[in-house]
Amino acid sequence: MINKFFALTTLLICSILFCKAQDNGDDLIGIWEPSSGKARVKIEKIGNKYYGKIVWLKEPLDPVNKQPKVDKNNPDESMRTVPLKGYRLLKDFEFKSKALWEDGTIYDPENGSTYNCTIKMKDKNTLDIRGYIGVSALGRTDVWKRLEIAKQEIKSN
Amino acid sequence: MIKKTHRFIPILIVCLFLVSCMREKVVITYEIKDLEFVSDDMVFEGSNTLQNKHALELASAAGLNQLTEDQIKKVKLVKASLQTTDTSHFDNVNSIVLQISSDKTEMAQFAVVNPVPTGLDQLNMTLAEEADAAEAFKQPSIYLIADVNVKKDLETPIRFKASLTFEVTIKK
Amino acid sequence: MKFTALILLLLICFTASAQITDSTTLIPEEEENYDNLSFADGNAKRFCTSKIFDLSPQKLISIGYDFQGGYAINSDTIGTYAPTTVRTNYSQGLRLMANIPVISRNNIIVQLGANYLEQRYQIDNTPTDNLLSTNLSRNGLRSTGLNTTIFKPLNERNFIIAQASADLNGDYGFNTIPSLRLLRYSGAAIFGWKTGDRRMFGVGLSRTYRVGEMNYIPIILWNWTSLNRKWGTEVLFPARAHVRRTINSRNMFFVGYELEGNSYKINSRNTLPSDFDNLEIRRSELRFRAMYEFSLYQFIWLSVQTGFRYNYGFNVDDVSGGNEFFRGFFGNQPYAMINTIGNTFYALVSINVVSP
Repeated sequence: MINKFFALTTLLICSILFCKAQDNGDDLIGIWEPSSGKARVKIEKIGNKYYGKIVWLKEPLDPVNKQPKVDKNNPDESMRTVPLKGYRLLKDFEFKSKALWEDGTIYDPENGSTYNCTIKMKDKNTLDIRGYIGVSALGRTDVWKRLEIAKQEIKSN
Repeated sequence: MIKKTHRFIPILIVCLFLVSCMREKVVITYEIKDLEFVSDDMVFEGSNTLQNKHALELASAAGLNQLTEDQIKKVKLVKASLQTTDTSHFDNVNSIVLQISSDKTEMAQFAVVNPVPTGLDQLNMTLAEEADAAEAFKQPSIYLIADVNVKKDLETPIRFKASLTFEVTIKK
Repeated sequence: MKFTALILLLLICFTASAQITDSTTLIPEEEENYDNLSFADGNAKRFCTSKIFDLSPQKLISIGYDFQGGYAINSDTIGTYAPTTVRTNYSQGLRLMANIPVISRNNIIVQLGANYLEQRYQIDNTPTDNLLSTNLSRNGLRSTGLNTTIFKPLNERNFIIAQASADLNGDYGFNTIPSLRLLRYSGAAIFGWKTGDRRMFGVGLSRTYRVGEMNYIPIILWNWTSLNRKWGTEVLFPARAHVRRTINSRNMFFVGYELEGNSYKINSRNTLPSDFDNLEIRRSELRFRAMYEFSLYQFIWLSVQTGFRYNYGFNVDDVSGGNEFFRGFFGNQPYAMINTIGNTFYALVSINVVSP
């Protein structure tokens, strides 16, 4: 009887701790595509926070000067030469609870605006990214999809 | 006569307040020298993240025993230079963006060099005019993140040192 | 022994748990070739978005003030009232609008909106023997409505836009709100193509009151941005059409026009025989304008527009029993009153909260 109790207790404690280890927010790490399909964003962790940077652009060159695109709408004029490729547009997200990251910001290079942002993971391959102004009601949700190496690519390898 | 005197009292109070505020604030220089950034052994075309953690020693730099969060008013990056001893100089790099964050503050861009000129061992970065690192400097340590855009795949790591000079406004 | 095993297990678990706070998780770059990626979810599809580069930002909340300079109103005879001409010194009114996205997903966007528009007429020496000028002077015209807009992308190239609105229009006050059976319904459906980040266009059909009375009109959508992103068009013909000069993403200048109008119930207030209980002003005007929109502070934008207001219609119909009828451009149903109003300059200033 005591042995059974001992085994069950051990199992229970281990399960709780393993679940906690799984519920760690690192599910967010990966490559994601916003709904516009204009960019691909790699989310990684620095310190205890999550950041997303542009790693691919559908249109990498400015069609007028044929140079790599830069952040020409940055409110700080001195930073308008920062390249868009590599740009961190998701910043400072903290994992709050299962499938929810908050307290971050999202930057829109199209207009140089930074919005408050929350990320909800709808399923392991889908994110609801909600940018808003002050209150969540005044915002817009964009759905991002997880990317992986193309299956054909894997086969050919 | 009494009325005229009264008129000057608010102005006098404002002036005294401003003078007292000005007297209490001092600007010190805080330098981070030869902070080494090293990439992985293999570097691939595109954006690569190099980072470093720096423990702040503001109090000793200010000649104080202790410095509270409230005393740190403004931190501005006034000089940022990068040096490399690599024989290829910075020639394999398109751009470098320097960002600062801490565990409790937001990451912000502080300097950029884009495009990177070829054939140079030392680069002076363009500094952000509006970025203020005061909140990050209230933490015990800061993260310095260099986003390096590399021109092509490399089999040797990218290695450079950064020297940064900050002007820190503190209230004594 | 068992105790030792438990301690060991707990240590292993704590180690696993502690690993989650590992300071940095950077994805090794060698794993990635960002060109050759596909959706991890095999069923996921790409859809076109509702925006192109530099399209003027959508207004979530708008508070505006409209002002029109002086003009004459020539009203027709009706009942025992003789035709009259009165001078409006100016007309003005508040314009409130809200438009909130309630569903915003890759495969559908649904927005709900509400609006309140008023037009108050400042008429000196209003004759008491004229229905139209008396009512306009006393009460002005109001329009209160709800609307919805649905953007439904079908794939990466095609989309459908559906729009519907219900408006309560008239010379009512807040204490004399008319019956909801007088609601006037408008709608539009567009099938469109998005050929890139610089052009989207579409064709469709609308049931509209913009020409004053209910009409069915084909519509054309044409949003375009030039390669250098300095110029563009924002066209929803015939409702509005503008050429856009983008100074930067927070400063935009427009030249173009908007056609606006609706059908307004006039309360005869027992001054006319009961035969005249169902009169509606078919108000429609073309506003040729120059417009400057810019960010005051972050997401707060100011819009300033000025131009020439051209009267397209101000006739009155007898809508028996409130049942709307279709005249179209070629119908020959007679108007109850044929009125004309002069043209004038106008200005409209609004402060707006714009969408991310």
